[in-house]
Amino acid sequence: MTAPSASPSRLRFRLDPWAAEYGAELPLVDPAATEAAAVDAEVERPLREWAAVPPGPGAEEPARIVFVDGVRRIEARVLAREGERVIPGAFGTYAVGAVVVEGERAAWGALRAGRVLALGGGASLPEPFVLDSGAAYVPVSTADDDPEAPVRRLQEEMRLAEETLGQEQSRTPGTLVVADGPLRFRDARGAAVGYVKRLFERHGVPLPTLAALAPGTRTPLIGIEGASFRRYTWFLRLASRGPADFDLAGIVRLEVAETVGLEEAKRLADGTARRLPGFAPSRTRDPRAPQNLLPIGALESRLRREMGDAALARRHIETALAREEA
Amino acid sequence: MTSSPAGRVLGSVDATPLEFWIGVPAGGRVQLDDLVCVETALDDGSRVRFFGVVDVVRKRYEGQAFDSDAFRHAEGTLPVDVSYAAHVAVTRIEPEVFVPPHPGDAARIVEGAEFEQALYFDRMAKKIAIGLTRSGEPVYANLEFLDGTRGAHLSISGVSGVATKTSYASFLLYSLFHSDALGADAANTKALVFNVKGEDLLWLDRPNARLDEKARAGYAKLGLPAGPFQSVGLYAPAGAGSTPMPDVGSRQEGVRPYLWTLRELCEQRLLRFAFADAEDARGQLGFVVERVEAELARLAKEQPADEAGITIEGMACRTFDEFVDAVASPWLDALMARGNYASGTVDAFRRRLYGIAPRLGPLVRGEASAAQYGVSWASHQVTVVDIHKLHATAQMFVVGVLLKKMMAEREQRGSARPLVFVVLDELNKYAPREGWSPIRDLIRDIAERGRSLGVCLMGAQQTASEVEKRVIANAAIKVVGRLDAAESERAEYGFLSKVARLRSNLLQPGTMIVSQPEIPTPVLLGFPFPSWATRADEAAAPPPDPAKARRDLFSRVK
Repeated sequence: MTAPSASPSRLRFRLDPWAAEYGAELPLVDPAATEAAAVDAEVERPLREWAAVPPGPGAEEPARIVFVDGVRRIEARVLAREGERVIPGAFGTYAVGAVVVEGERAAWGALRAGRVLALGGGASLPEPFVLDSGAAYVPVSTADDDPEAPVRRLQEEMRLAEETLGQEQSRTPGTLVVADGPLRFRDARGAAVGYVKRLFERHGVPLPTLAALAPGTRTPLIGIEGASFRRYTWFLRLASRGPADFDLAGIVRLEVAETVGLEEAKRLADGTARRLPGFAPSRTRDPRAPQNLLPIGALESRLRREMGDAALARRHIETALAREEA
Repeated sequence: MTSSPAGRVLGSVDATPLEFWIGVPAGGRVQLDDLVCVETALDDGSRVRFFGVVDVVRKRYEGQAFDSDAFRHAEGTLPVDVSYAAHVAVTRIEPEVFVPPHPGDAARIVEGAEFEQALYFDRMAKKIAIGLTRSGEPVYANLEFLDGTRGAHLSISGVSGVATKTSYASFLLYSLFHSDALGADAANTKALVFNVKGEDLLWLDRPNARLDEKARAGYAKLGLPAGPFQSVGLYAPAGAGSTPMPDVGSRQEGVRPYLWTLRELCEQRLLRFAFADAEDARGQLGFVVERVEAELARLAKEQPADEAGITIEGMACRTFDEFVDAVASPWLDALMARGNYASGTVDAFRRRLYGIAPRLGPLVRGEASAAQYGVSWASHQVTVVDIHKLHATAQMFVVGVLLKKMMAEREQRGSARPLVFVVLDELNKYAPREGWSPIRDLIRDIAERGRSLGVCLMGAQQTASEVEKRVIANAAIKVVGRLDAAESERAEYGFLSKVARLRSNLLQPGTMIVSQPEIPTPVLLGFPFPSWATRADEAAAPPPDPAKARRDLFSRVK
């Protein structure tokens, strides 16, 4: 049995008594999703010629699609006192993974999990915090010291891992990586698109135009200014909406780095319009249908298993903290 | 030797000392009837080994709740994990520490010495090969549960035509007599086999021309030669002709006719076996039969012992018809007048007696030569008595008479050695659960006392539920072939696990499930294709007689 690593001078953490956020996945507002400035809606065609774009021929293109996604959760929030300062921290676990679809085969790609002890206020620990179960939480630090700072830091770790995995996967020729959320890495070859499930922003597209999109068709490309680099984006309707659904139900937004060039971006947009509707689940299967594509939904539940049991992890953390006090 | 494990004990369901599940890794294979071993380390450093047999295997998508996911996966839109798991029914724990195995412990498929351990073969001092597992490992039974040391009798149940009951019984006899299982007793151990259906058993002494290499390999694995029975006596009922000839179809040569003399019938009180039909048991008929038997026995004693016939009231009977006439004459009324018998009962006896006359006529005779046609089971290892062409009444008579004689002989000898095996199919006819017959009493007697008298009954029946309870209960080794679905649910098959019951409904010919006292789980096994012929077109020509070959040679030279 490994005792929790303790040094006399280090911070002594206590459980945050009432901020237990069991396995929560609160949607943090991603800066990349909102920082859409400088919209150019006429990169593909002039606005007055705007209409839904059906995909061109090429039924099986792209042939290899890799879906990349990640999940995270807070297992315990902790607080430490340093003089007058209260330092927030959180024990968290994330997992990222990929689903590789080739022809009529969908299989698991790489699955990775990581555990971190995220600390606010620039605090740090010299070595991982190890529980009796053997789980080791790697200390990571952020300068912010507001209560949500550790959670953002954990999210950042997960995004980094997603990014690494997405970049690795995009290296295989003929692959299209569909990364969950706004695109985080610049890919010059057009092998990765960002897949945004929730429409925070319409990027200037008139609501009637979006509402009129038929299943399997997309809007023309729009040039936007995203976080750190410019992109092309387009809206795609995955499935027809139900009678009770709002006009925008079943619509997702995709984006690709501007550096791929307009023609390549159009090719990719057509490819997603051809292929992605086939992965849409029915609403009986998934309440987040159709946006939460089958491979992504399956990946998320698989990744949750990868993270292990949350209650058990919390129990071990409590035990370790209590022992430190004794 | 370390190889990757065949599976690991699951922790998502309870693992117990008597049963547990193992998960099978991708690319691995565990199938029904595999024998596995799981080794668990205890805190004190000691190790416990769990041996068991796989009785359920299943696959499912893990964590997926929708049936339609199978289609989604096939379309390539949904990735899935497949859980492949096998249920293990524990047969043995070494040493006997009844802790559960630890989830995650490696399970391996056992073979060789560990296979023998898993099924307790290592503890059997005297064992007999009873078949092969589907993976080709020999399976044994403890001879001590057949030879009377710790138990006796064997019961085979199964649907006619598919269950291969007779074939399996003859395979067991073959294994007994052609291995060293019996040791020094082999020479004197005998088997009395009743051929109830077809002429399958009339070719035991001939090699099977259709025996293929696969079957030969099977015999080799079991340590048995692949050939015919070495010592066989064949008997068929005498036909109606004046000179006793065996009444058989396809085979004449080497088959001896059998019959009884009228004197034997009277002296040994065999008449009751001619009245063995269930309806005869009703009312007073049994008393009449007993009274007549007693008087006939008295008469026989008075008459010269070398006579085959019998003389009743001055009427010398040489045939069964004459005997029936003589018994049914006023002599019967005179005899009955002394007792308090209803005249209706006496008439019923008379009617029955005339009724059986044509059935038994050829089998019970009084001519001078008749005495030489008895069945002698002492002269061969295996004696086959054919009754398949006989009428039911005559079948009852033959079985009853021979079994009675055997029991009388064993009682006189007063020892359980050498052994006699009795093979009888259609026990539900001879020892029915409902109703009474003299044969039923005899068979029950064998089941209950046979162990101490050295008689081992290998009984077969379509439905054990219709056979006298104590006959089934006394069988140490229980075998089923293909069972009818309704039948397999009966309490008589309680020795079968739930899964084994289901499997018994789809057993193929040549596959049996065997339960024996020492092994806590029934074992599914196959037995090789008979290396002896079972019908005329399988019978390879007998080995050439050298003397005859020489004569043939010279005849050509001439």
